[in-house]
Amino acid sequence: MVTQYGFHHNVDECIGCKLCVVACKDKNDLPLGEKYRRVYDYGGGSWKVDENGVMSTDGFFMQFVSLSCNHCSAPACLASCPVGAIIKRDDGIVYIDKTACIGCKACIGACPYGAPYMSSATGVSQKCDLCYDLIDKGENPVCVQSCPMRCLEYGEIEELRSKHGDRAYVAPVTSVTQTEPNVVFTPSRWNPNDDMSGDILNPDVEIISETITL
Amino acid sequence: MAKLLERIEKSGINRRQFVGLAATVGAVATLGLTGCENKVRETDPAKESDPTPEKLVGGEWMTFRCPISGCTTTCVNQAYVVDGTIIRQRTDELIEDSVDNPQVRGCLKGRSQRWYITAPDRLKYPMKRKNWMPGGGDNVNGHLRGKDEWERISWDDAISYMAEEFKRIADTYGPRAFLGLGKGAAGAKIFNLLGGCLTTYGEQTPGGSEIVRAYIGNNLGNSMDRMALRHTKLMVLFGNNTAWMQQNQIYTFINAKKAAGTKVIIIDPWFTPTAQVVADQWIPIHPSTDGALVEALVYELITNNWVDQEFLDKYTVGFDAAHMPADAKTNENYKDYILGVYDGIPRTAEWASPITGIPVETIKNLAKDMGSIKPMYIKSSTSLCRTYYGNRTCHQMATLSWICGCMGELGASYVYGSPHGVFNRDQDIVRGSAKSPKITPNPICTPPGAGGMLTGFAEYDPNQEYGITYPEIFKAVATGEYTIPGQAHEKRACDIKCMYNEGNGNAANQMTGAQYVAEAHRKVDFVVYQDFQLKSGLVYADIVLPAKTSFEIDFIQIGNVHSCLYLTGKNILAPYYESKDDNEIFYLLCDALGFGEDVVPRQTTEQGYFNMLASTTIPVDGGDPIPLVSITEDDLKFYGMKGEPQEGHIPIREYKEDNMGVFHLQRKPDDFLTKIPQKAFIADPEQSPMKTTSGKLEIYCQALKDHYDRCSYHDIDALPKYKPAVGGYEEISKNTDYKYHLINLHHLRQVQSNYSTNKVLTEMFANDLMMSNYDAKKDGFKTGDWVLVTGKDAGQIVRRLCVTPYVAPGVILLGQANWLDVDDETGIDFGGCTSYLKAPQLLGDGYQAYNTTPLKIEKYTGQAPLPDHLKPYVVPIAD
Repeated sequence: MVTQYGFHHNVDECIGCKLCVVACKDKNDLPLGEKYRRVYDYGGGSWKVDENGVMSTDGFFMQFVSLSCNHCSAPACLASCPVGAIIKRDDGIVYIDKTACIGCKACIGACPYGAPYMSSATGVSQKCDLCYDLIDKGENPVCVQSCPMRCLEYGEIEELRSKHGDRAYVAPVTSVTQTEPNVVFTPSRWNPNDDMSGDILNPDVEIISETITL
Repeated sequence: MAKLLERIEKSGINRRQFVGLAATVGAVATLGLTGCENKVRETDPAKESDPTPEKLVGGEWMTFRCPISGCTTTCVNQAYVVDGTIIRQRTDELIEDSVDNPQVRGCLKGRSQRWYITAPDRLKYPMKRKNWMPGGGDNVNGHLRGKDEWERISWDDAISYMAEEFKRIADTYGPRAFLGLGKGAAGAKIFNLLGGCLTTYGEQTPGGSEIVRAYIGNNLGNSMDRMALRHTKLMVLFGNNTAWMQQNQIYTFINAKKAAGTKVIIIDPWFTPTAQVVADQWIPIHPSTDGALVEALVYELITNNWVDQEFLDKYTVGFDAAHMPADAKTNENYKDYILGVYDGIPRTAEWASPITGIPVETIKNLAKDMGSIKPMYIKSSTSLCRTYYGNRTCHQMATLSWICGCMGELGASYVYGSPHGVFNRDQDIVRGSAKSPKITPNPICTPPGAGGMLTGFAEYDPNQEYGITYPEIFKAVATGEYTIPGQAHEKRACDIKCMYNEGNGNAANQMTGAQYVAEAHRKVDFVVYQDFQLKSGLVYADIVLPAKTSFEIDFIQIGNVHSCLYLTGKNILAPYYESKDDNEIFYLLCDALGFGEDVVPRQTTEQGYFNMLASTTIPVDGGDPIPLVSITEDDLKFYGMKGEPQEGHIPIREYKEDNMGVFHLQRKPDDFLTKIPQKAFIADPEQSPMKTTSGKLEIYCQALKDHYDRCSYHDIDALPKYKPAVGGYEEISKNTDYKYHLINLHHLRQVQSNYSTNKVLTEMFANDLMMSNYDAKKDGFKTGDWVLVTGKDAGQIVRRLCVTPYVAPGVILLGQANWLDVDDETGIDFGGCTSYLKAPQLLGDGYQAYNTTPLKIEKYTGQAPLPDHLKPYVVPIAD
């Protein structure tokens, strides 16, 4: 009996292809602009060029981080919801009951990971539900099933932690321990010490979930 | 600690501006369609607004093929189709995922087909440009092309306009007035029946390497399969972004690296996603200077005695004075050239460092690795060959590999290019051939060699009409002359009256010299395009024919890269509105022009693919290949196909119906398909010689030099000498205006010029112009700036800028193949097409130097265009 599901993301082997995002949009029929999962291009460092044109890098790193809902053990979204529309299942999956949501956006302000967002297509808050309909049938969540690098994994969080360690942060995702996130990251070998001096390089549309009407 | 969203805000993203942009677009959109006649539904990602996952009922999963042939990968993609509409997709769930036989998972392009294949910009009906009338002269109103409106016409009318206009032009001007815009010999089949047409030739993907490869003795057989790769101890990659180019291969490469403990070194001006996940070392280099690095590495190898002299003596010619080929016209050998005997310049690391931008110690350490870690695999990308002196690159890299003795052992190889040389190509494991009816050959023009490759030039005939070289296509139409092969650049007149693109490629968007596209199309009497979308050249068409895609016809797809995969499928959607497949259209034209079955035997697309499946074989350990499928008389009746019964590996119905047309050939480590490239040549070079003049690998290649002197557009040396490129680093670093070096990316969001309008893909990847944070700081640019980009002696584009640490100083990255969107008044392309930045250049065998393009970049002060994902669909006619 699973008590808490979670994700593992191997940042070191992620090519930033965003197939996880697209597969999720497909599964959840998300309109343009909306995404449950986002991939951050995070990089830092600078260049030096000497008088002969010889180049060197200083503090250079680059990594892709795929982030969705962490299905926290102490979910801030759930705590903030005034109508009880956010539910935590016995297996730890946190989902939003769209029929109960009143669209007050409290959960959006509460979540430190940017998971829930307001869909202007439906008028309610939405986020990843770990494809619990597929999990209940014994299948993989679509982000995991589609990953060409097999660098996204889901499972009982204790198992994931015993396999991959208990690191719940990797730049630009900071550790917010109050919510007890159920996510484990393997860091990039280009940034093993989690240098946070870099920048999120993506344009806004790639990382912000917001319904777009053409 | 800061919350993630605060960090996002801090990084300069302005959410409000974002909403503002979206609001301005709403008024422009002209979409909407109801009451389709055949249950095919237009799908618009901006309108998919029910996020409640519905149950998958009432339909079925079917295997499909992506509608694009230019992709170098083959994957398993499936769609759940209900009532003629794709409501869900999935990838390979047909076999268990394992390290030896991984599921062949599709990429995000494949995964987003449901938002693309039936999007509002799909062509639905035959159309005629309103102000075009047949007969030529003033009837044409050519100046209105690209601005005019279209009107819907019937197929009967479209075909009779074409038949009559083709006849008029053939009778009045003769066949040289026709230009078939299909790539290479494809031209336009119907013109061949009317007496012929001019066609086009040259190189895109392989750059200047094809002819070089053919002469020096390196060939595609060098590629290693994925099991052989597990024996490689050192891999040195010059360029190569497999993670984006052959996405389902990078995973098997990582597995091979883990199995063998391979050290991977990547040399590239860009820290590619491939480098990110596989490299142990990244060496940034100035673009187009890889040849100088090769020479310094060879100097180090020679002076440190790391040269595999035995290999060189036995298998190569031209390395030293004692091993010169018999046909050499000079006494220059490679070793003395490198040591500086001829010009007093030894090619030391100190010499190469300021050219390449690589520190001296880094070069020396790289040479040490290459001289000591075996077996080694060297791979150079064709992107290096798409430069002004890209004709030399593959010769330089191959020479380096031979000096290291990098051949004949499991895990050792040199491979140029992509897709031919991807990490783990299982070549020829499954193959089939289409028994298609012969197409009437072109009576007046034959491009040199199949597919535009100039290998046929070995027997160059000055009296032969070869056609118009790729970079000159639209310039030739506009100016009325083109250049025939040879370094004299002799001109020949042409007066094109009619251009027809049968849907084979998007030449107007993809060939350098795109500045001439509008002028060329407006000059002629008659322009016909056939495609499924409103692509760059098609906007100038007088008659538009809507074509079917692979979703609406039967198909076969052989694993191009992943050759262990073989796909067969049926049409998964009904014909989209009035679209027809290319064969049907050709036969309609034949009917209208009176070419009966005696001249053009008719064969349906379905029968063609059935023949191909029947002839496909799979390899057997220790025996001859056997057919993939068994076919009985009953099967022939069941499928309504002509053919003969045969015995095979799997009954055809089990394969096509139960296995959904997907066949995976299972591999095991070191199985009988594990390949040592060039094994026979290494075992006995006398019995199995190279196809070169000497029978050996030619470091000194006189035949190549002679070929260039006879019929190429520019120069080459018999020895693979480095030469600074026109538009290369040496030139750009001294220029104060054109001081940026453009590298055209094959962006993950597109396959060549396909998918440019797929909204979901443009949402995922903005494809901004990437500039090094070093340059941005120096020149005052920041992320989000819109910039005016000028190509030297070429056109201007406007594009948004993204500042990044992952690209070397002086280098600009931009994904190629955004669709042209040229403003007639200013001549500026707001689509952001890289071909528009490159002037036509005459090089080698008609190849295109996309990656030696000097740029000037300044802030753009006019009205910024919308980002790609917010651009409204261009819908040709309202319903």
